[in-house]
Amino acid sequence: MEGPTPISALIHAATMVTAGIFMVARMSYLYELSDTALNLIMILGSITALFMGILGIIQNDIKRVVAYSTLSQLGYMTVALGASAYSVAVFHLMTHAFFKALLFLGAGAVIVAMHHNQDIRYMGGLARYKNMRITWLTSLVGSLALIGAPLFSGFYSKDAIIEAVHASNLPAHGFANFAVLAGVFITAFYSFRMYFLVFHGKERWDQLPHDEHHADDHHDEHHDLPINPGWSINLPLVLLAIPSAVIGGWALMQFVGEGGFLGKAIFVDHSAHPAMQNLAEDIHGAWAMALHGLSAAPFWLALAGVVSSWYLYLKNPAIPARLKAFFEGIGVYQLLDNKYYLDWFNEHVVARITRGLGTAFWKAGDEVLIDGALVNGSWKVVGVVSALSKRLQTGYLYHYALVMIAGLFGLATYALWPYLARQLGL
Amino acid sequence: MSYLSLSIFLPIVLGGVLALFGRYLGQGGARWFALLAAIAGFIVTIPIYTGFDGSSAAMQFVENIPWVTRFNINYHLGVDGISLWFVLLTAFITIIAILSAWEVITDRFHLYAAAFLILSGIMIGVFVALDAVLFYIFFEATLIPMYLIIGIWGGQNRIYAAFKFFLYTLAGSFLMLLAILFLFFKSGYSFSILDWQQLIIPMGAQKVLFFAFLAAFAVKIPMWPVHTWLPDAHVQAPTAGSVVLAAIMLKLGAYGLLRFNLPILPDASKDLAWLMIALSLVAVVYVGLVAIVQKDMKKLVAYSSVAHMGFVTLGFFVFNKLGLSGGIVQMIAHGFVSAGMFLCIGVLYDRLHTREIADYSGVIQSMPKFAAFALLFAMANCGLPATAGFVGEWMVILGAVKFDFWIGVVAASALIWGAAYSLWLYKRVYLGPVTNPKVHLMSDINAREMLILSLLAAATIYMGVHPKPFTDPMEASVQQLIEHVGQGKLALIGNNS
Repeated sequence: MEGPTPISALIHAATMVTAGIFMVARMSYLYELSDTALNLIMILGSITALFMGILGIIQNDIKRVVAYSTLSQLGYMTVALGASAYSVAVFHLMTHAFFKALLFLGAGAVIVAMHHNQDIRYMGGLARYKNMRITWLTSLVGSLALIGAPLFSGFYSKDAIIEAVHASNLPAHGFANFAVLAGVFITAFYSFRMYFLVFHGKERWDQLPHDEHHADDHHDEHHDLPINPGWSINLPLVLLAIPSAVIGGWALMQFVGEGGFLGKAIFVDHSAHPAMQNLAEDIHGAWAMALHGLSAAPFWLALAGVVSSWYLYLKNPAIPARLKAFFEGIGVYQLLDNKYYLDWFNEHVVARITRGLGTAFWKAGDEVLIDGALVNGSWKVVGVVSALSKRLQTGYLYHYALVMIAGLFGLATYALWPYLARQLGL
Repeated sequence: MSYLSLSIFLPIVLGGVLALFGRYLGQGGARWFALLAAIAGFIVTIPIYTGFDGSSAAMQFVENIPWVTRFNINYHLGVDGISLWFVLLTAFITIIAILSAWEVITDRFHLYAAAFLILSGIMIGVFVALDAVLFYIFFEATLIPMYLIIGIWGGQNRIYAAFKFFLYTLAGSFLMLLAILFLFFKSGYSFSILDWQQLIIPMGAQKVLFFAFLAAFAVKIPMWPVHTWLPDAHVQAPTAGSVVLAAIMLKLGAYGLLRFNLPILPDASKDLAWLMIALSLVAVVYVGLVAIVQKDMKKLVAYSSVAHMGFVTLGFFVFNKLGLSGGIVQMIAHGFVSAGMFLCIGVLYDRLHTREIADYSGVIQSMPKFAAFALLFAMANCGLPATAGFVGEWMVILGAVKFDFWIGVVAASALIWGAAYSLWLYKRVYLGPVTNPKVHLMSDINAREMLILSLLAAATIYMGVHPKPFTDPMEASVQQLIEHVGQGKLALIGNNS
């Protein structure tokens, strides 16, 4: 996220963050053996899909919104893994790679156009500028793919996940079902919040406070028109927009049908986990699925998300501020703003305990006990013993004579004691 | 004269010449003489590797000359798969040590370099001695040059550190001497280590002897809780002293365990394995945690060395081939990596004359090339795959899991502690904004420093990517040792009666 935008696109889209999804799918042979593991995976995925999506709603940094949406989508993939729909998880991984790379590069284009301002509160109306048209349209395609609008690639993979969760027979599937459906609304809401704030509505970039002003910009520059991103930025956007739109429908049957692209690479115990088989029976083709999608809950949830963000951020922008004040009042906003205090927990609890233990071992164990008591202590004992024994050998003759006389007296007393005792009548 | 004697005595003789006549050579002459002597010392070890028969577990390049016939003491040398790499490593690290002192040591350079050359020969002697008296002499003799290196060229508190180092290690060795004498009489007047390996000893005596040898070796390794001399010695030692101390001297103790405790006392070793494993795990976790909170860079790396040596001893006492060879590989890898870590600290110290982590920040701004090397060694120190640090840790963890799953889990936590202290150190020293204005003035590494770090970096990466040349020669010897320990000696008593 903090890296350069193309690196974010690479990391978030296809490589690093999805490695875990790939690994579980690759090890389906192992995970199929344990319902406990699958339940746990499904619950973790549900929590991630829902709660990371919620964080996306309150972010104002354009890259952060996209980054939290990645976390949420990883949650979707994980839920699919838990439902034994490994191939569907890989399918979503693939479609997500295209539209997430597109959204990140689109965000990069916007950041360039906005003179390196990343705060969506100070953007707006970019769709009206001719040189931003490609950025605008491709970002729209990416957003539609992300929220799962029918016919776009994200629709097929996400709907397949929702269907798979629905068909799952694991105990966790009730919660997962709720999470992935609620997640659809939330995804649509934060995606189009960003989209509307960036590309539509009033132009607000002149309101950018000066202290947030990028150091290498000139003072008068941020009032200027958006910078033309140029073909080096636009071309990748177009190239990514095409698969973001169509690859889902094209590849659908390869991932949900029998004997598809993944073939024997993935193992599913169909008798124990029939979800994938049910899915394969229900899905007959891209057109039929899109048509069916129009009458299903996810479509209406997504539409509701888009409409509510339109209402809140374009039609009646006063409401979000009031909502924010309300949620601040009950502490929810702070909870979200601090990412559920997970970073705080790591920093103040985990790291602090670790450092505390280290310091305790070092100071109390190494310095006081081992070095202080044992090592330096043994030197000190030697020192004390030698200091004491030194006193016995003063070298003065009269000291030795005194000790000799005292000893003689003592010995004589000892030897004569029986006699003396008798004499004294003891 | 055979190659083993040459690799022992060539550096010692050349070091002696340098010590005696070095002042007539001048600073420059002494430098080149020392460097050429170290290189010559390394070259004579190469035929030992090329001529080594990896398929045999027997001692090779054996030399056996009667020395003190009255007590049956022999000048008996030999190398097997376990000791082979340490001979080369010692000679190699000596070159690095001489180069690292090049323009840094200006006070009596010829004596300083001579101490390292002599130390190199003595340490090779420890690794190839097959006569217990010879081993004992070499083992104790290593103390003298190192004592002088720390005591003369060390830091502020060098006298305390030098004495602590000397007394600590000497105290351990006395018990070993008693054990050696006991075995001499028990074996019918033989000092041959190889004879002792066939000697049948009852369990009670084995245990006593085990602790006697352990007293000497545990201090040297060092194992928790007799490790506290090491941080002091490292902090006070000059850079090259730290390099040799960490890269080679710590290995003498672990090597002693392999030469004495395991083969001579196999039953006690198995019986007391729980203790050794417990101490090793304490070293890994406790010392790893202590390393995290250190404020002095050298102390941090010193503690990390203790933690890494905990891995080595853990590998030895899980009694399988993976663990044992993993322990040896870890020893070699640690030789390269810890040398690199200490050299990096030396490079920083030469410029800013402080080892406090808090005094540095953003070094990468003024020394980008150096920061790249430092990153490699930090990564190797926490066991990143494709670096030397990974190979040994991986093998030991596998061996530990094979032995007992939960021991493997605790051992694997070393990767977390390792990453925590290595990366946090790197972050605080190299990354972030420059807070100390002097950091801006630091010049990037010169050609000499580049050469040293490149040599070690090449070794670190080569060993990480292709460890086969390191593991292949030890294969047969490790196999034989495992079988020997597995069979034990008490079973033979049972058969005889």
